[in-house]
Parts: sequence; structure tokens; C-alpha cells
Amino acid sequence: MWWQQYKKEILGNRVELVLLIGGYLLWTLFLASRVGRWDEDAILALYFAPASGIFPLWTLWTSVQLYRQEWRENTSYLMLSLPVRARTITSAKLAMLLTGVAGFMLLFAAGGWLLFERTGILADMRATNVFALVPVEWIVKMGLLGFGSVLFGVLVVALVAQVAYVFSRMFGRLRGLVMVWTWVLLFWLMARVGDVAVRWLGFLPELHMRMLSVRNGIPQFELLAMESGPIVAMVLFAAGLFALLNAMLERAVEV
Amino acid sequence: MATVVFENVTKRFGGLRALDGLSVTVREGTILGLLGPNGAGKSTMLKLMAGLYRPDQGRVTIDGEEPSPKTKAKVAYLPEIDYLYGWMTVQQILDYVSAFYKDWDPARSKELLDFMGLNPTARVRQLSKGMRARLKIVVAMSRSAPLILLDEPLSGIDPPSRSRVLQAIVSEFREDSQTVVMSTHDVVESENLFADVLFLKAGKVALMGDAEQLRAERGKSIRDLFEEVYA
Repeated sequence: MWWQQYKKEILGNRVELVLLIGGYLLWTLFLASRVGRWDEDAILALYFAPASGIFPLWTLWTSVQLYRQEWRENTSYLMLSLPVRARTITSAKLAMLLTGVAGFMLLFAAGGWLLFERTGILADMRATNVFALVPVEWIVKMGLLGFGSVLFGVLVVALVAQVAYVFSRMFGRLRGLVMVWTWVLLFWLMARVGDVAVRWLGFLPELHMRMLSVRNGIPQFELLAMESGPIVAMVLFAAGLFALLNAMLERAVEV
Repeated sequence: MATVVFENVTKRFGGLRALDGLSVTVREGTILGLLGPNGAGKSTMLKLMAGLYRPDQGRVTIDGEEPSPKTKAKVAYLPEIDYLYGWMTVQQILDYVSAFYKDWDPARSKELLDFMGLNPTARVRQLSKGMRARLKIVVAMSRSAPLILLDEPLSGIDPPSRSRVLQAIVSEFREDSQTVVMSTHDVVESENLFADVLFLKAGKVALMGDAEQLRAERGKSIRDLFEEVYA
């Protein structure tokens, strides 16, 4: 059942996904073709800048669209009449979004590698022997940590947007206003949760990470200590939002 | 079979009472005609049974339970509006919906698809209104659901499609295991289908009973009774 729901979400958004991925591929190839003709810094800026704008906007837009479309096209009748717990539907929608984001990130990393290679940045780094000094294991670990952090960030933002939209469906009028205010309120609450967690969850053990820094051209590792309270609080906040979204779909919202 | 009970149910939309203290028990193993003009509360009743609306007051139960994923597994609901994904093909719709129901009967689905003259590779949004209505019937009747809810299945479709839809309802209905509740404001074509009828007026029961008995007692057809009730 979950798989069918997930497949439906992927297929239902395939045009958008193909356009986004195809567009980004073309843009990357175009920039790669400009190496040697345009300034390298400009090429890299043109590569990174759209991603930092398009990526969060797409995440927000799609998060809301996954539900908005159901009500706009009356398929909410089918969605809400299915004999499944709301979490089957909500998790499939979130999984679709995370699949898109993961695909986009992999594409972004591959495009970045291509441009770094073509502009000679990677060759310069190889010449400084940095790759011999930095263990591959550490690079992989940091890459996965970054990947996971972005996915978790997207998940939280998506949940905020979806809870705000579904909550607004419980009102007959001024839904847009309700959605925007719920959104603002939830982001405020998220910031407060972070503040409170620092105080209340201070007893939790610290997390330690080896961070790389380069001094006088020599790479060296430093141990960085991080409080785990805010991270635990964010996970709990996301779990709370997920439970709230499911409860609203199952017990409150109507077609 | 499923027993549906409305206990003093009120449903409001703003200042309007779509259902007003409605108390009704739907007899098992029958086809109940839910009759009334637009705004009488027919669709609201069906949506409450399907779990798409929640009562403001009172209680709706299916086999003693309030609507939930468990009761939804017993219900095949066909809304009046187009509710199927337009980008899917007919076959994709059937594959998608069938994955959620244990009582889905693939052989019956295939038979109905052929009977309705639907092309499995056609996209839903490219189908005519009549064909979309036929597809909705295939989706609802391909299951051995104990409770089938049909909201205006004949509304706005061409005569050949109406005839096919009615034939499908009659041929697929299983008296020993199913209950059908069908709303309509067009009594002429569907009169002979109903074992029981419920006339709704402004969210209340205006008249309810065994169709045959009402005809005998009042010496009128259901169509004439409809005109009398809503005169």
C-alpha cells in the first residue's frame, strides 16, 4: 500500500522533477562549456547561486503542492476515503519530496565535481597534496553528514509547510492568511524549542566532530564539541509535527 | 453486510444546517434510494458515512463503529464529482485503488471494464464525462464491499452511459452481502432499483420506508411521491 502511494506521488510529480533535473543538467553543461571563456569565479557563482535560491523554493512549493493539488483537483475525496492510517499518506508524500531533494543533491554534487575538475580547482588541490593528507574516510563521513543534515532540514521545513496548509483546510474562509500565520508561528516555535533545548537538555552528552582546517597550507584536524540538546529537540519537534499532521488528516480535516 | 446508523446527527456549514438532528438506520442487504432536491443533505449523509465529513452533533456508525480506516475498508464510495487522478490511465487508476482493498475482485474489474467499453490505456483526463462516470462505477463496483455509497452516479451523463451505469449497479449488487445507498434527484430512471427509499428535506427525514410498501399504501409511484413531498 505504502509503495503504491509513494509510486503515485513520484509519478504525479514526474513532469516537475524531469523539468527541474533536466534544466539543472543543461545549466551545468552550459557552464562547463564556458570554462576558459568566462571568469572561473563567475562560473562557480552562477552554478551555486541558482541552487541556493531554487532549491529551498522548490522544497517549500512542492511541500504545499503535494496537498493543495489533492483539494484543488478533488482527489482529496479518494485520498481521505482510503482505508489506511494517515501516516501511510503523509510519509509517502514526504518520501517523494526527500527523493527529489536527494536526487537533486547528487546531481548538484556531480555538477560541482565536473566544474571543479574543468576549472582546474581539483588539479590545484591535488598538487598541494591535500588529498593525501586528508583521509577519504573523513571526506565520506563529512559528505554523508552534510547530506543527512540537508535532508533533515528539508524534512522539518516540509512538515512546517504541510502542517500549516492542512491546518488551513479546517477553515472555511481566509485560508491563505491562516496558513501564513501558522507558518510564522511554527517557525517561531521552532526557534524557541532550540533555545529551550539548550537550557533543558544541557545534561545530554556533547557530540564531537573532527573538523579540517588549513593553516599555512597545511591541513590539520581540530576537535569540535557540539551540544546535542538542540539536535534532539529538533528531532522531537519534527516528530511532533508529523504526529500533528497525521492527527489533523485522520480526525479533523474534511474534503 | 454493513449496518449504518445515524443518531441525531447535525452537520452545519456556516449558518446552514445540511443535516438537522437526523436519526436513520439503513437496512442491511438493500438498495436504499436517497432522494431529494439539491441541498436536501443527500451528499452530506454519504460523506459522513464515507468518513469525509464529521458530524457537529450526534453519531454515525458503521457496524457499531465511527468512521475510521477500519470502516473505510468496508465502504466503496463514489462521489458525484470527478475524484480520480486525471494524469493516470484507466489501468493505473485500477492498479492504484486495488492495492488498498483486500476485497478487490480483478476478474470483476476486468468484466466491468469491458462492459463499460473503457480503454485501459486512455488517460482519465482525456475521457468524456460519460466515460469518467463509467470508470467511477468500475472503481466502486469492482469490490465486494459490504457498503456501497453512490452519490448521484447518473448526474450529467449521456443516456447510453446512464443505462450502462444502472445495469452495472443491478448486475453487481449482491443482496446477501451488500448494502447500497444511492443518492439521486432523478427518480424516473432509478425508481425500480430501490428496495427502500428515504426522502430528505432540509436535512431531515420527510418520508422513509420500503418502496413497494409505500407504493401500495399511498397508491402512487415513487416519482409521484417525490413530487408530492417536494411540492
